[in-house]
Amino acid sequence: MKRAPGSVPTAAAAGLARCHACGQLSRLPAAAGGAAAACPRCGAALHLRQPASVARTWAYLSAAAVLYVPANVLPVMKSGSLFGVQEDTILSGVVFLWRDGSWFLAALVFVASIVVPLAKLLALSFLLLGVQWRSAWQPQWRTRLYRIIEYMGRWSMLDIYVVTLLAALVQLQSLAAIQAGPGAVAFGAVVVLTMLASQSFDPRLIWDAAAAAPAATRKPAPTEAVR
Amino acid sequence: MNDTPPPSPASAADEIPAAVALPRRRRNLQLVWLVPVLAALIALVLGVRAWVDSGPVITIRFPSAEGLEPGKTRIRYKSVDIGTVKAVRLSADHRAVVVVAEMANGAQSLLREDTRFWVVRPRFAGGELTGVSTLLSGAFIGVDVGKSETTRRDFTGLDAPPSITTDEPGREFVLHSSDLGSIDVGSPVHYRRINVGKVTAIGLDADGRGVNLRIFVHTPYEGLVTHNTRFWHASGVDLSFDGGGIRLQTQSLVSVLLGGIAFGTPAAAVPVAAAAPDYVFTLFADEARAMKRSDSEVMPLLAYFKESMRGLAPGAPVDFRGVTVGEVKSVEINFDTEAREIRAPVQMVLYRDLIRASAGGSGPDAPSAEALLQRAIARGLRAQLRIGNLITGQRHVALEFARDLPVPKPPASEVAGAPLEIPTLPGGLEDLQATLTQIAKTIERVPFDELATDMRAALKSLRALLDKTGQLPLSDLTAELRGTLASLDVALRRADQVLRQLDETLAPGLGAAISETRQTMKAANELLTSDAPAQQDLRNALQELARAAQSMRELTDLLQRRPDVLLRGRPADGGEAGTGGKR
Repeated sequence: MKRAPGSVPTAAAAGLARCHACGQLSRLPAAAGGAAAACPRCGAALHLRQPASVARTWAYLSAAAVLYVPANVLPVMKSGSLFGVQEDTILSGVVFLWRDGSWFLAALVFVASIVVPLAKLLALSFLLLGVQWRSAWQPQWRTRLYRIIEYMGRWSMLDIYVVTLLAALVQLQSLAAIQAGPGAVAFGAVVVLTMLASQSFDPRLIWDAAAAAPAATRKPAPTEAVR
Repeated sequence: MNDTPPPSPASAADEIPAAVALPRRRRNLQLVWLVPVLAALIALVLGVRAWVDSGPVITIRFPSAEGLEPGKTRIRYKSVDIGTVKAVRLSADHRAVVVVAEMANGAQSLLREDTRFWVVRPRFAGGELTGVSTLLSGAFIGVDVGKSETTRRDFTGLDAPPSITTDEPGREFVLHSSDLGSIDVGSPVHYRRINVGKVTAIGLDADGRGVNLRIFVHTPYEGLVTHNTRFWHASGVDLSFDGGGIRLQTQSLVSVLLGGIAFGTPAAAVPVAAAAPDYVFTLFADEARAMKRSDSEVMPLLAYFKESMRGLAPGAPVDFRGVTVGEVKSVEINFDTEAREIRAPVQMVLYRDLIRASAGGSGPDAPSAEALLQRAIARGLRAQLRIGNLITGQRHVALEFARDLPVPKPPASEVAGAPLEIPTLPGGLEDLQATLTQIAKTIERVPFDELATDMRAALKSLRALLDKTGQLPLSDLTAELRGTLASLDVALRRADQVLRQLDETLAPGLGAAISETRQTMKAANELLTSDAPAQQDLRNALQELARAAQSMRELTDLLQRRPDVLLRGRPADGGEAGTGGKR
């Protein structure tokens, strides 16, 4: 059904909430202004929107942004061999691959390990700011952006997988040994934090803002959810 | 978006169960903000650690960046990584390569004023192959930490690794030489053929007149280098051919192939202190030259020879009755304007200690070598050229006493510092030649012609005499004397003539002969008389013989009874006395 945003009746408007755990639809207590509710079937907590979505996302996002710096500066991998120890950061690995002629691999690692986390950070910030400013601009496009972000986030773990695999396999005592560097922990944390951030972001807020934009006084519910 | 059907809100809404109201909880907000705080903390810790770990950044100039890779090449001190090459770029004047390296934290104390850097590559020097591991791992930059107190950040790398690191225990000395020979950096230094060190650096003098070498002597041996230690080239094989014959000298095989330096210390009466670091020594060409006496131990001596100097070279020995007491320093030729002749001044040096020792004293109150020598010259000590080696014709100077010579004028050169002059004798061959000439001249003076004439005259008269004698008809004369009286007169007359002639020539000898005969006859008469001394002696001798025979008999008796007396001697109680039997 195609209708203009704002004119669509929503579950929130009807006072209905769906349980996240068992999917049971239930009616929220009528005067539940700020009261919490539980699912009548399974007892899980019920929310109209993800509670404190914006704040949580901001928290995860800022943590990820802070750790993004050491993740790229510090070495991800320490490879020791007979002839010395070599420490590689993500970027030096990309440079090595590029110089080695493996341009495709270099591009892949570059995109997955550097571009994607950065893009996620920026995109989530963009979405959050949009929600906070109650922007009604292109909600559909922004939702699609969110989908892409969620989908791509997992690929950022590529580097971490490589390092963990190598560190586990290449342990030939003095001949050769590979260890994860401090950058790997930071990088892993960045990826996990951005995934958490994108998970804690509630895309419905985009539409809430869009619906509220034409008639700002129409629904008090989203404001309460943001809180 | 919940799927609430919009057309019939009222009826559907009635069937939806109501949610259970819960008391309000407010805690999510506080907990979630712990995450970024934690992240910030972690990032801070990582950052601080990285900042603390990062060391100073230095630059090193190298002639070439061969084998150096930014981000990969390590800087190693004692095989410990202390830094990494971050960048390699050309110097401003494009003559060198500037390597930017980031050192590890804590490497500040290694970056001293005299810290040295070099690129470790495989290389062969001084008989050793080094840096083999870099064949596989790639070059790295080696470090030798200096001792200076001041630090610096910009360095100039060495072309080659230093053969001796700063912290290696030992002592460094400087050798000065006119020629490098086959010595190279890393060449061994030997003491009694034990490898005790090596050459660390070679270079020309400032004025280019000589070569300076730096050598390093390892620790247990550095005390062997004293102030009077002599160093010499021990390179290769040294074959010398001089008045003493053929000499072949070699060092260890490594030195033969690569060259080397050896040193030794001549025996000294008083122990000499070990040399301080960087003490400058002279590097001699060979051991013989190195071990020669120094100027304070020698005494100059000058001799003017008038003969050929062929075969006499500087370094030839000066000997006294076969013992080398010095050596020839130089041989020249000049013209003596006073005597108007060409002469060869030969500068020599004599070893003071030998001269003084020969005089029987080397104590402080013993006379000086000069005084001893002057006395010896006054008593006839002379210098003489002699052939030392007949095959090569090498000659040496011999000092010899010649007593039958006139006492020479005292040495003219009394100028202070001028060498003592010693008169010379003609050399051995010249002497022989002169004697032969003298003999020939004497022989020449004999008047052989006159002698021959005289002799011939004498022979002629003799023959005449014999002829006359042979012509005498003596047998006829006797026959006539016995046979015919008639011819007696003639015969007598002739005999008279003969007798007269004989009287002239033979009578004196005949008279003497007759008297001699008479004496003989008389002696024989005396001998034959019964109480002549000869008779007496004979009788005595016979009596002695009889006694001897008796003794012999006694001895044989004794031996028959007791043969062991020969071995054991005569028993004390065996009474017989064999006076002459003990033979």
